[in-house]
Order: sequence, then C-alpha cells, then structure tokens
Amino acid sequence: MSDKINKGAINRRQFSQRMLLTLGAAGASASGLLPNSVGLAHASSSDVSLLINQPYSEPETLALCQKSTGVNAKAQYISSMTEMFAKLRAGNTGIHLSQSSSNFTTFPHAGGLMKKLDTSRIPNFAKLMPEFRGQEGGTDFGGEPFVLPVVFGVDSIAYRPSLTKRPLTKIADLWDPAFKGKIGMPAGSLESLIVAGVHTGAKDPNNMTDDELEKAKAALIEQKPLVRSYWTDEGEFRANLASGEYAICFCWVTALQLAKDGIDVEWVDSPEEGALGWWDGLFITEKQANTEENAEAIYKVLDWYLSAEFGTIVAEKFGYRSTATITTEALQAKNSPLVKQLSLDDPKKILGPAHFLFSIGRPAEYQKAWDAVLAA
Amino acid sequence: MSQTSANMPASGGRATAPLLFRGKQLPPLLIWPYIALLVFVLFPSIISILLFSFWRSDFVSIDHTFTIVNYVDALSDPVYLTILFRTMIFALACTATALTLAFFFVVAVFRTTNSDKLRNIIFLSLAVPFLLGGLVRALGWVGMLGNGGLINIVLLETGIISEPIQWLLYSWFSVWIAVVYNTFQMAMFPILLSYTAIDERLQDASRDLGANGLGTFLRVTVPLTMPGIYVGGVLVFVVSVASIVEPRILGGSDARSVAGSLISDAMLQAFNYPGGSAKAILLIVLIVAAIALWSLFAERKYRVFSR
Repeated sequence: MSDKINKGAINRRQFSQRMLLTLGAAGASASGLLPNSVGLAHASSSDVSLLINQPYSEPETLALCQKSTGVNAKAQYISSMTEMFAKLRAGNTGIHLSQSSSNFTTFPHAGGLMKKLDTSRIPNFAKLMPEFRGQEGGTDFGGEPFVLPVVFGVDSIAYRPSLTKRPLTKIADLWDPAFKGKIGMPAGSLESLIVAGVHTGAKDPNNMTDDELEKAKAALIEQKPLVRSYWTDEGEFRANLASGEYAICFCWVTALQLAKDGIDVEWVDSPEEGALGWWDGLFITEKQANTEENAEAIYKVLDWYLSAEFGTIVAEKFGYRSTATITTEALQAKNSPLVKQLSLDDPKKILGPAHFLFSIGRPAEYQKAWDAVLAA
Repeated sequence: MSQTSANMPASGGRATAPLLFRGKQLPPLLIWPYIALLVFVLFPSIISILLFSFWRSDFVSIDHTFTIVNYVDALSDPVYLTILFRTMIFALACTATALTLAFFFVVAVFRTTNSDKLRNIIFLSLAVPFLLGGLVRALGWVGMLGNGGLINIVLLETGIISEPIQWLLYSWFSVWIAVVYNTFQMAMFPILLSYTAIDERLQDASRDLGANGLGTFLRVTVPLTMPGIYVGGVLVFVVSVASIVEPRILGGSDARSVAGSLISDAMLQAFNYPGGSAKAILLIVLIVAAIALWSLFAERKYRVFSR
C-alpha cells in the first residue's frame, strides 16, 4: 500500500480511510461485535463441544466417552456457572452442550440459550432417578424438559476432628465462638447467604423474603469475626483445611480427598438443619444441533453422561453421585463400599433432609446483602 | 532553573536529538496507526463501560433506555461509599509505603556502593519475582504468613511466641504487604531515573553553603527526585486502587472488601453490568481527581512539570 501512496495511486486521505476501516474491522472482530464462526469451521458434524467443569470432562473421561459412543467430545473448561452464562450469552457459538447447576438453570433458559430435550433419544433417561425429573424451574420449563441432571450431591461441613476436639453435627457449629479464626465460608452472594438462611430458619433459602434476607445478613455479620477467610475455589478450602487454617468449613465433598493424604478430615453428610443439595446437568445450546447427524452425536454424549461408566468414574474419583440408578447397580455388582458411603442404595436419605439449591429469585438483593456483609 | 530553560534550544530541551529521531520530520500520516490503536484498542472497553453505566439490567437482559439510576443507586448506597472510602485510604497507605521504601532503597544502594555492576545486579534482581504471575506471588504470601507459614514457624521454634500470630494472614496487613511488594518496582524505577539524574555538585554546594545532611536531603535531594516520586506515586496508586487478586487471596473476612472486588462481584456474580459499570466509572473519576490533586501539589510545591 505504501508503494501505491508513493506512486500516487491513492492519496493520504484514502490511505487513512482504508487504514481506519482495516483497524476498525480488526477491533470489532476482537471485541466480539462481528460474528466469529472460525471455531466451528473445522468441527466435524460428529464432534461435540462441551462447556463444562473439568472433573466431568478430563481427557481420559472423554476418551472413554469416545470409545463408547464413537463421538469425539471436546471440552472447554469453566470454573463457575456465571462464566458459562457469560460465555454463552456473548455468542459462544462453538458449544453444543453446556453444563448448568441446579441453582442456575433459570438464567440460561430465560436468556434463550437452551434447546428443548427430546428424552426419547436418551435411552438411559429411563434409569434417571425420579427425584430428578420434572422439576419445574430446574430441569423443566413450561412442562418441557430442558436440562438433564447427571450428577448430584450435597454441600455441607467438613472439619478436622483433631482441631475441633469434638464431632460436629450441625450448621450452627459454623457460628460457634470456640472456633474463632478457624472457620471457612464460601465467598460470593449465593452460597454463604443460603447457608445463613438455613441457619436462621428461612422457609425457602433460594427465595428469601426481605426479613429473612436481613436475618441471614445479620447472621453472617455476626459470624464475620469468627471467619478465617471466605474461600473462592476448591483448591483454597482444601489447602486451608490441610494446613489447619480452617478447623471447620462449609464446602464441597471433595474435601474428603484430603484423607488420601493422611489428613484427618470428616464430612457431615446430613447436618441437623439439612445440607445444601445440588445437581449438575447438561443442556443443548439453542444455536446448535441444526443437523440430524450433529443432533445424533449430541444425544449419544448426553446418554453416556447417564451411563454406569461415567457414574462410576465420578463416584470413585470425586465422591459424586450419578443421578442414574444403573451406576448404583454397577457399583453393587462390584461390591463397592461407595454404595453405602454415598447412600446410593437409599438416595432419599440424602435428598430428603437437604435444601435443594435452585436459582435464586432476587440475585441483585442477595448481592447487595453480601456486599453489606463484606463492608461490615 | 527557568533561566536554564530559557537558554535551551526550542527543539525540546536537548542540544542534540538522539540519533534515531534526528533528521527531517516523519510524515504526519504515520501518527494515524497510533491514534487508531488508541481508539480501537484502548478506548473501547472504557466506552463500553460508560455506555453500560447508563442502561439497566434484570440479570438476564439489558434494557438500553438511557438512565442515570445506576449512578443515583451507587451514590446513595452507604455500603459502596464505605468500601470506596476504605479502598482510597488503603491505596494511599500502599502508595506512601511503596514510595518511602523505594526512595530509601535507591539512596541506600547508591550510598553504599560505587560499583555500577553491583548496582545493576541489585536493581535487575528486583525483577526476578515478576517472572511469576500475580496470583502465584499472592499465593506465595499464604505460605509465608499463614499459621504454618515460615514466619510463624521461625517465631514458634525460637520460642518468641507460643501461638501462631493470626493477623499475619487474612488481614489488611497481609493485603498491604502483598500490594506494596507488587508495586515496589513501579515506585522504584522512576525514582531511580530521577535520582541518577541529580547533579552531585548541587548536593556538595548545599553542604558548602552550610546545610547539614538532613537539610541537603530534604531541600535538594528530595525536590530533585520529585519527578520520579510523582510518576511512581501515580503508578502505585492506580494499581493499588484496582487491586483484586491480593484482597481475594489474602484478605480473609475483613480485607476482602475493596472497590475492585465489589465491581467485579456486581458484574460477574449478580450479572449487573450496568450497576457495576456505574461504580467503575465513579471509581475512575475518583482516581482521576486524586491524580489531579497529586499533580497540583507536585507542580505547586516542586514544579515537576515546568522545570
């Protein structure tokens, strides 16, 4: 182009205009203003891309999936549901299947990001535990299924008996002054406030009234001097439990993996007030599955995530529970102690007393309450 | 000083321009790619935040009707104002600490050795920790300051304490240490540049005229280093105000609440981009105002711009 300028083929004004247009297009493309279909250009119609947490889609897990289904499933990892929502809402069109937790499904649905499921194309759907079917506002919207729950569990209390000096049985122990400076709580507006809601007796911790929210906020402010830190990810609570910074922590069941390293850690599966129940599921993204071949591959992957093969992997590696009864049958056939440990033979024991996490009704108010806790 | 300026050539204060820029002026056309870079790369995020701040969100969708309600909400929210005030005080404390440490570090290195090689090794070695990412550096402080961290272990083993010191970690103290550590170089290098440009004869003259060491330091060394202190102050302050990683990793239950975390949570947890954007714009305005005050002070007291 500079040659043309020198030769007088274009003048400076024209050069400047072209330069601006070129940079403008590059800037717009980089900022997501222009559609980006490059990611899809190389994908085969039998490839399936997932937006999912790493434990559910490690390379060896997806290799087994491919072996069973013949479908090449590829994962893009996410660390939170808000990250999933932000990516899909920003037009991440390369994704066929996305994960959503029970406490988040209303948002991608309301955002028009989900495609209705045809459960007749998922043979293992027949093995899905009845507790995970037809949850309006969770798995279903308007009576139609949109999300397939594949794994469930509870968030509860992990503690170090050598530090607490007594067995713990209730969420109220998180407010015990005896553990001052040794308590870990989740960061963020969703979980800590819900835990506080359970502690203060809110009728529906996912949808607290103003009074209930105020009580939960006050409980967290009262608890604040006792709290060592608010953890932001799994690595943080595990490291703090391992080092003894936390004697007691409201967290995920993966804390039990510390026992493999010889650390004394106990898990309260069913505290007196009830644990927080959750499930993780998969949904088909609205912008995908346009071709029959592609849809077939997607449904094969969905079905595999309800298989005993996947259920056994997550149970043995992470202590998570599959939502399909065939995993229980497979583990029983192997005489696995996990059947009892995870109460897979009697899931009601876990599900009954748990407060299930569903999408909170007023995220802005919850966030405001959480900000007030931090500022107190 | 103004006489010296008056005697300098009009080309910008130097008798001869560096070789690279000597010769005829470059074509004005070549400025356009850089202007375009500013417009299309640096400004869009700010413009986008500004636009969002005048819209509304209901978590799932954005209402693009113009409104100033996000600003009204933010300015009438005592929680936001408390956190904003707290963040400013914290950033000022970090800035003052980093500048003081950096200044005396530079002076100490120059006063204790005449070897240029040793000085270069010392200054360059300060960059080594920055080969690691900010998150890893913050996590390094957990290992240093925790109950089972190096400091507590040494103090316990030597019998100086009988219980681990809790406030070393998950407190304002740990966040302050980490932010100062991360911004020390930003303060030090501009000060180093200013300090090395001081004509030592001015300090000698001060002493010859009867000033003692402290007088020379306060009336000659500090004022002549002021351009570096000014630039370092701006850099450290801006980074300290915007710090998110250190409060999150090291802040525990108290020191987590800084403006950056509040804005990030509003956008990423509550998906209130407009509300978070208004808070971000207000923070930017406050930062610019603080820098303007600092500039006014530096110019009036030390003439950093007009020397």
